[in-house]
Amino acid sequence: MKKLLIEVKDLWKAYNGKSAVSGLSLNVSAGEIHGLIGLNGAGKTTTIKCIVGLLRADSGEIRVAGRDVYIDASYKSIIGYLPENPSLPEYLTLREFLIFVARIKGLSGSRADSEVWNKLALFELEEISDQLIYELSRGMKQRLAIAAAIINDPDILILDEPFSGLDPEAQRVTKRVMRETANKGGAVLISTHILDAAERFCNRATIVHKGRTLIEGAIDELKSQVGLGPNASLEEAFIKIISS
Amino acid sequence: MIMVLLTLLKTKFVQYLGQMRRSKLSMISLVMIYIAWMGIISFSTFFLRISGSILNISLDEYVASLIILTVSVILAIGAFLGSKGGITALSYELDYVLTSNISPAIFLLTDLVFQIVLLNIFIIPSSLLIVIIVSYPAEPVNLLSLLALYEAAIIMSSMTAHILGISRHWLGEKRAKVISWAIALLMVLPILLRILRVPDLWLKDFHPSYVLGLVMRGSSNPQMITLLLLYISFLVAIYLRGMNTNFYASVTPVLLSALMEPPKRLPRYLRLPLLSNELLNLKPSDSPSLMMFKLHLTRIVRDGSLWTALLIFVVFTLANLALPRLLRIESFPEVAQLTLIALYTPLFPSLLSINWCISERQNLWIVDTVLKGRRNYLSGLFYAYFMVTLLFSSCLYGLIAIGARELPFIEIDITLLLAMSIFSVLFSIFTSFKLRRIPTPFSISSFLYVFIPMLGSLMLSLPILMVRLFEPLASDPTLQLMAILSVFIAVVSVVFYKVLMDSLSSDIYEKTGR
Repeated sequence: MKKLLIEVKDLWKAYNGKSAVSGLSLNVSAGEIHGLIGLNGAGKTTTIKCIVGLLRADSGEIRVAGRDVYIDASYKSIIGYLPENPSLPEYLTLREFLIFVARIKGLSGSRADSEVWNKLALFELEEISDQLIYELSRGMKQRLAIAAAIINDPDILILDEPFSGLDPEAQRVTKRVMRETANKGGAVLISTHILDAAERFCNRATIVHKGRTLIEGAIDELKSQVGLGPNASLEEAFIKIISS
Repeated sequence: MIMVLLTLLKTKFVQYLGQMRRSKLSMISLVMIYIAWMGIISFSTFFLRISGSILNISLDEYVASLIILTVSVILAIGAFLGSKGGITALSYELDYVLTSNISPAIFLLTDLVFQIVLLNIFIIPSSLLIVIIVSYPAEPVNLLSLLALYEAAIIMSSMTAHILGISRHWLGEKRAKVISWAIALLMVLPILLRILRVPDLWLKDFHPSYVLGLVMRGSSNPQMITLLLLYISFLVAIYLRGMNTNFYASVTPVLLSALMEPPKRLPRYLRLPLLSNELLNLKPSDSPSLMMFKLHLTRIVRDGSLWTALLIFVVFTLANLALPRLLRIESFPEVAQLTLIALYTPLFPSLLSINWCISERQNLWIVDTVLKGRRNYLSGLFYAYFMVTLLFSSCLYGLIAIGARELPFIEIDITLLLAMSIFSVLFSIFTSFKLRRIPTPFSISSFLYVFIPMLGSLMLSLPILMVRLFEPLASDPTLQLMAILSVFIAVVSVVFYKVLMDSLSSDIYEKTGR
């Protein structure tokens, strides 16, 4: 059995008494690209924020690489995170920002320097590396934010709507990075409501609705569980699951 | 048209009040703070009067000069807002109103009413109070005429702000800014001349503050009346032209940019090797702590908030130095001014914190998803703020000390400056992390961003202030006393710093919403 890298059990979270996540559970194993799928407001982003430590859950258990996130914060050194709408320090240049992230993530000075140039090259940002982030377009900022998320080659990638605003070339690179992370024994958790992308790209998925897990499994399993054949689309399965 | 205008206006106020509307308590506290503000103004004016410090000057003349100065300030506010874009567009207006078929004329009129109401709330009651308290029971000026005068100044000021904002569309941003600053300078000329003790008689023939003041106070001088009519006609004519211009593409959100500019590279004249390479550029070889320190310095230099905070700090200090000449009260010794500079020191980190909330708070996720990121971030923030606060307040202190020539309280004043710098920076960080509201100008939160560090650092510096008040302790403190004060500052700073860092580092779970 593959090692569980992300475990979420019976997660509850409310904002000002209004429930956002109500008993959600989720498991992501090593080697997996796992889609967290749901409608807008289903609780995907809240769940992800709880996992990366930006929000404290009201109750429930979250373990990343076997470590309880509320007791042992050392898991943060092996994760890479991309928020849904990444806000970046616009007063820094691209290179300065990546150096900053690399160093605070614990990379040595020389490794930080080489990784920064690698990632700038990977996302074709080398030529504009001395521009201020303020001067970038939204898509370019998204490229930079993904480059920052993977600057330390993390074992676990947690990406909230990663393809939003990305052009096809940057999407291709991002997908390649995610596959490489999974192939080397890590795990990727992405939240999305773009079902085509999830179907083509994820091995497993969790469908959430109104803050609860409705179903979890391999993509084909999800379809068969609701009585659909392998030729049916994930979208059909999703609609069926949600409406039932 | 009227219905559209009213709807836009109502939405604008609702949006501007923002979180104030969440609870009755917020609204009540806003009113209480406003009343307290009026109380402070009344008390200060009353104190000025009963202390008998107004020089041998007739009440009539004193009130007249007070009115001219107030009108100059009101007119200068318009020019200053004009330099920042002039039109108080909120972000929702940029997205929805300016992209709709609502005409620029209606949008402009809505904003004119909005600005006039806001300026009325903040200027009229306090300005009238000052004149009433200074002159009661005499009535050197008719209050209704005075009200009309201030209203006219406010309307002219708001129209000037708008025209200067629209002039960006006609002339480009740079030229419009230069014109705005030139007009602002012209408007504060009566104040500057008085500070510099330069006769201002020649201004009386044409300066809008004097012309407005004289006409509204019943002057029947035809030259003055013609000049005032000329000014108003000129303003209205350009304003009407502005209303017929589609200036939407040149509108910038003035409310949020009042304290900062979009980030830009260092201007060439600031690209000194030491400043740009060693102090600001982040390098892979920097330790994470040093990097955090540099990050904050880079931010406040590149987004301009350091320069704005410095400008406000210098203006306050100079205004304080000029106050005796300006209000024609008996001058108190220059050395006493030095202490006041220490008391202004909290303004510096407060203004930087306001900017932090607007431009940087949303970037906290970067450090919060990294091991020990928040603690390093906070300590970098403290050292960066402390360095610039102490550096700039010490420079000003030094300059004034050179002018004062005699420095009987230098040891205590320097100790006070140090204590106020440390404590105000710590309180500013506390306020900006705990108060999660974005401070808009003139809002309760922006008031708290200034008030909490000022009051907090004053409270913690009380022992030093007490020593400063008593002779001969103040002028000739013993070595033992200085040692005790130094230990006091060190102990309180270390304890406060540690408690604050622990508290804010563990409090990383922001209520950010979904």
